[in-house]
Amino acid sequence: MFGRAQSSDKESDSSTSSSDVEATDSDQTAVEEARWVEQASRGDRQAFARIVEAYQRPIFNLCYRMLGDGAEAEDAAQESFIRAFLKLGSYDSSRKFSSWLFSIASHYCIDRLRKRRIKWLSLDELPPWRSNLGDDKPQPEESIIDVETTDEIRELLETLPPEYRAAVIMKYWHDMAYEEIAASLNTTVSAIKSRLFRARKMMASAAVDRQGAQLASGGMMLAGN
Amino acid sequence: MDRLDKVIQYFDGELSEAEAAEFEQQLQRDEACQAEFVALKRVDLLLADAAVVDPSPDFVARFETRLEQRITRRRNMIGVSVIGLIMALATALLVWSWADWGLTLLSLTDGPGLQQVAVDALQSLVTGAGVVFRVISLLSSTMLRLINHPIFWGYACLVAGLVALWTQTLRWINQSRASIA
Repeated sequence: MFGRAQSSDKESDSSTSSSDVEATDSDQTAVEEARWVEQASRGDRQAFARIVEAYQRPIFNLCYRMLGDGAEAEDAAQESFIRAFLKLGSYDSSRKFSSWLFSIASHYCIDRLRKRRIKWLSLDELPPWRSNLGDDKPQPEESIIDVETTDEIRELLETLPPEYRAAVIMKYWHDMAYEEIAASLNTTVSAIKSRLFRARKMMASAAVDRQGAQLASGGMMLAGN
Repeated sequence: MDRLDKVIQYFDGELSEAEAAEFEQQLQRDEACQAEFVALKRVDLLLADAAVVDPSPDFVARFETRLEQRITRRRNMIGVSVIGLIMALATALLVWSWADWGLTLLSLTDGPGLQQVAVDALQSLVTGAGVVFRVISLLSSTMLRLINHPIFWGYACLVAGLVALWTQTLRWINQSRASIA
């Protein structure tokens, strides 16, 4: 359903039969989804649970990348789905359901970021009793090798205003088209292109500063020795 | 357009051949430009390879529980608001209706001093409340042909409030039994 959310088999297959099968599968998924949405709009919670099952990964990923914390992301994703269920009566079926769902989740996360009073702290800055709180819950990325990359991505995303961050996440994590992103964020395609351009610029600038700071601290360590 | 804008455009292949050639010469001699190019490459690489994270395995089950709680809380709040409104209206109408009877009873008692104070208080209450409810009465005069005594409305609202309260209480009892089971 979403680019990298699917398996990453990138071998090209020129046979028409496999592309026909993919198109048929995609059509079937869309038909099923439309049926679930219609049933859920009449109050069928089982039908909506199937929708949650289908979209839990991309919505949770969006919330996690926006908010930077696993527990908060799960809370935000759950709340987004609840809002979607309660607002199903106002869903316009001519609009793509995924865009509508992403719109609810992204706006909720943007509001949450704006209300956030306490600056996001990295685990290193938390007191020892606080840093153990997440141990009983599995964190989304547990590989030791990935920790540095995760921190770097998180720092880069933190340099962005919430609206820019949402556009970057939808583009790079979920391969959404510009039109879909614009529909989700209630803006125009040209505004999205502009935001993505500026976001890359801000992140590149932050990466340059980060590299400079690392070189400087490395230089100081050498001087000390 | 600053230098980093040009770096991005060059990176995305949006410069003309002449502009790209000129930029490549600048890139070779300008260290700051090189740092920005490397940083942009790093950012794009990170974004391209970053994994989609998975929620907890019981995400859907937790959602279903949370949705159930939210819907129940909403229904309870609506029920309590409606009951509160009906009871408030019933109380106001009954106070207005009984004020007249109160005056009649007091006129039969001994103790002129106390009686005078009570009569004055009740008369003010009747006057004030009467103005408000006379306005309501005027607005609904066509519907009140058959039912034109406020005390009837007061009792009707009281009964409606009690029925709603009883229904809601039964619902809470059933829900408690279901959650225990």
